[in-house]
Amino acid sequence: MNRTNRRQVLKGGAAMAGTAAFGFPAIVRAQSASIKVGHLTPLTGFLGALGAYAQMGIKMAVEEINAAGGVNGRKLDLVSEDSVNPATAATKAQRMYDQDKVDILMGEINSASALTIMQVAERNKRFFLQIGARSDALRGKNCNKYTFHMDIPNTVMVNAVGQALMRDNMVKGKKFFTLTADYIFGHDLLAAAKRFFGANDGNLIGNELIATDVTDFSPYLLKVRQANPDIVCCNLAGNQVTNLVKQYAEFGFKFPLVGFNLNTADAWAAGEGNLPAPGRRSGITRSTCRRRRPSSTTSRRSTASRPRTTPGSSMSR
Amino acid sequence: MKVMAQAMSEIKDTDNNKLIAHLEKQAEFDILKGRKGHFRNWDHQLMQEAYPFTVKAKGQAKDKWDLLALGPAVPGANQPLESIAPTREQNPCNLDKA
Repeated sequence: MNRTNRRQVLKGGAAMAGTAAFGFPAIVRAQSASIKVGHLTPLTGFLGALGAYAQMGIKMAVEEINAAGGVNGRKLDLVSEDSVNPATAATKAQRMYDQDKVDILMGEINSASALTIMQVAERNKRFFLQIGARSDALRGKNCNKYTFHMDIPNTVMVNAVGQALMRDNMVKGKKFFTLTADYIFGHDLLAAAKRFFGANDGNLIGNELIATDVTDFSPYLLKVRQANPDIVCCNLAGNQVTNLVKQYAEFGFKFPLVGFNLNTADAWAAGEGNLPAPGRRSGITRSTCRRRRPSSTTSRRSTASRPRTTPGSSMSR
Repeated sequence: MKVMAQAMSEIKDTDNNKLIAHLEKQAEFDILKGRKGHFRNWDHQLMQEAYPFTVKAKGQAKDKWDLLALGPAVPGANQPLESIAPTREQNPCNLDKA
């Protein structure tokens, strides 16, 4: 991807040089005619599955817009790359402004990478549309003049799920155990959850911070079993959510799993059969929670142990 | 992308300062939801409907994208979009800081 872009830049450079030497103004006009759109999103790592959907989405939008004639008669020219991690995201953002000469920059899912790109945008006094990161801090204490935010922030997610839990009498006097992604997104989601429990007489009895590359959740689930909560809350992100949900069922817990973060793309990534389907005895519906019935370890896929309830989740992006 | 396309066509420009000024006027955008959305001028957060969902029972999905059954929009049609967003008191954003 990178190499292709570099090659295109080189070709572009050669064309410009040719223009200067031989004077083909038409080529200069053609070069400046398109609107260059820079897009950064994680395509690798724990948010890579979500990023692949983001890239698919923006490509579809660009194709549709160009097929309809572009913007102000100019075609969109998309440069979409893997943002990898916060440091690389910042470097690539700077390169897109300086070398790729993007007219507008957009993207992200990872709150930590979104934060570093926002800082680059502010330093360069350039626009950045932050599409998919949910940390409250990005539009709160770290907000800046150059960045706009599309996605729904953590506090709003917690409040929305919280309303559904309250409706089902699952907050007051209940013991909660939270599993939290150990980076800015999870920290800030945990803070929102704590405010919610505090305001509504929920009792947080334990929390585990979990590194974003963890795939085996059994050590954390053993701690959950020991703590014996009423409700387990998932403040995880990306692949963490998908892996936890699959492993949670194997532990056969009696306490429901509630997700403050689950969204359309997480559901697509998990795929049919890996998300609990709604059942007749569903306690919670239309909340951002998911809940599984205790199931045996051997027959997760059998009808008898199939999860009966689901409270689905959150927001479509 | 479509929000940006609409904004750039409304200002007939790609100038980043003009774009920011336009969005800060709380211009309304079609965001493929029931109600249009706008960016709140003091924290640049998009004000929009949310759709809580449940998961369809196995076998009911038409294809691999059709897993979810959307519930009614939050906030309801008669409530302002801002009603689910943090207030100025709750959100410590200051866009004018040096």
